[in-house]
Amino acid sequence: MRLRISLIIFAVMLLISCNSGSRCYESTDTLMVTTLTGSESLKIGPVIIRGYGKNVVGDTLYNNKDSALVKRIALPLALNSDSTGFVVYFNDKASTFWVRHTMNIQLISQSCGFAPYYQLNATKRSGLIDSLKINQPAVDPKSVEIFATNGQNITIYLHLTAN
Amino acid sequence: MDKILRSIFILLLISPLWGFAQKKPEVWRYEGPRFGIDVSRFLMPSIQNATKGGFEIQADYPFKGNWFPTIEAGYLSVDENKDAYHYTNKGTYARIGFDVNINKFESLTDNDLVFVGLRYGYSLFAQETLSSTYTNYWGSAQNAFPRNFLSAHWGELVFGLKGELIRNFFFGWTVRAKFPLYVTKDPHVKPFVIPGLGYTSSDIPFDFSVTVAYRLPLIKTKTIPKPLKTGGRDRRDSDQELDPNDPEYNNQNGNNNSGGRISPGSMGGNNRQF
Repeated sequence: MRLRISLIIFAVMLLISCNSGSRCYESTDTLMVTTLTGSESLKIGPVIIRGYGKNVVGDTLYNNKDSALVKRIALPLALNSDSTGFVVYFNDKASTFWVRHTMNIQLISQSCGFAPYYQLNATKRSGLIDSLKINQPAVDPKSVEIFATNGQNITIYLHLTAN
Repeated sequence: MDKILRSIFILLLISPLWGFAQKKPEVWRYEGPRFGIDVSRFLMPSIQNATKGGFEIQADYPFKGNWFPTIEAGYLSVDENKDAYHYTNKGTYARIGFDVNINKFESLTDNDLVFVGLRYGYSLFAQETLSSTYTNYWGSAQNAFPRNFLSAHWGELVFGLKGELIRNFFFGWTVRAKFPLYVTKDPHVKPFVIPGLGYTSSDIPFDFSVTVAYRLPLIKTKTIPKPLKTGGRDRRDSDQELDPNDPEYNNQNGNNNSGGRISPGSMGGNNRQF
């Protein structure tokens, strides 16, 4: 019996000496899932989105030249401010929208570290944006995964005209 | 010379008879409180290059042969210093519960255990985030969260082995499935490790203990605890005092001891000596 127990002890010690490592398998990118839409019949043409006040080359967040009825975009929110502004270029014009939010930094896991969690409170718009609707105010590192195919944090209704 | 040879011859002839006259050492079963340490708390940080360290002490006491009320207490310190954050967590914990031996003791000297058990655990710990950095399109955010005292309650289901490798010294391991019952919430930092409970990334954290323990042999007995009934009726109905004339007794302790040294009347009903 002692021998058997000793052998089993040895086997288990071998097993527990294996280290699975500490890689991060979770998303740490907190992005606001945004849907651009116009009307049921009109397609949206080329769209470019930049952060408000970000005009340097490389500051483009989204550049899509395809035409589609609905475009889905994941946008980062500001870390050191309670509101985030974006400039949307479409139909050769620039429009802006603002999102007001609160932020809370939280630990995701030992291997992934910290990430921001937002709560959307209000919106503001200008130009050819008809309206904005907050669908899901909670924006966290899992939002992109949750809304991968359906749903969004906010919906932006664009003022499209038939050519 | 002739006398010497004659004497040696006679001695050789009668020497086997001395064996009958000599008493073999009497075999007893020893019981008592067992005190141990979890050596994995010392070894694993160096083996796995982990950022945590601590210690755990354990004690149990035999009750009715196969039951072992158990208490465990320990301390854990975590210092995770990465590029993105620096986090510390220090705390103490205690567990109370029991193990029940499911192994049949094969002889008076057999003290090897195969056991299952239950525990209730409580931990009081303090965590602090000295710095954290998060960077995205808009820039970088630096944060620090002050020390916060938290507590946790959990239950455990344990399974393990303990073998008496040297007399009164035990070595064994325990696998633990832990079921968190309540953990104080922190608005910023959900603790990723809780002293005594382990990593919180899993709903049911699993853990290992590797124990070295010493038993204080306070109790001497000739009683082998009966195995736990697992269905059918056991041949012995209760903790049985063995009859020295019983062949099983002779097989179990490897001793042909006779002469009625052990009798119920002489040692009391439970046949224990303190």
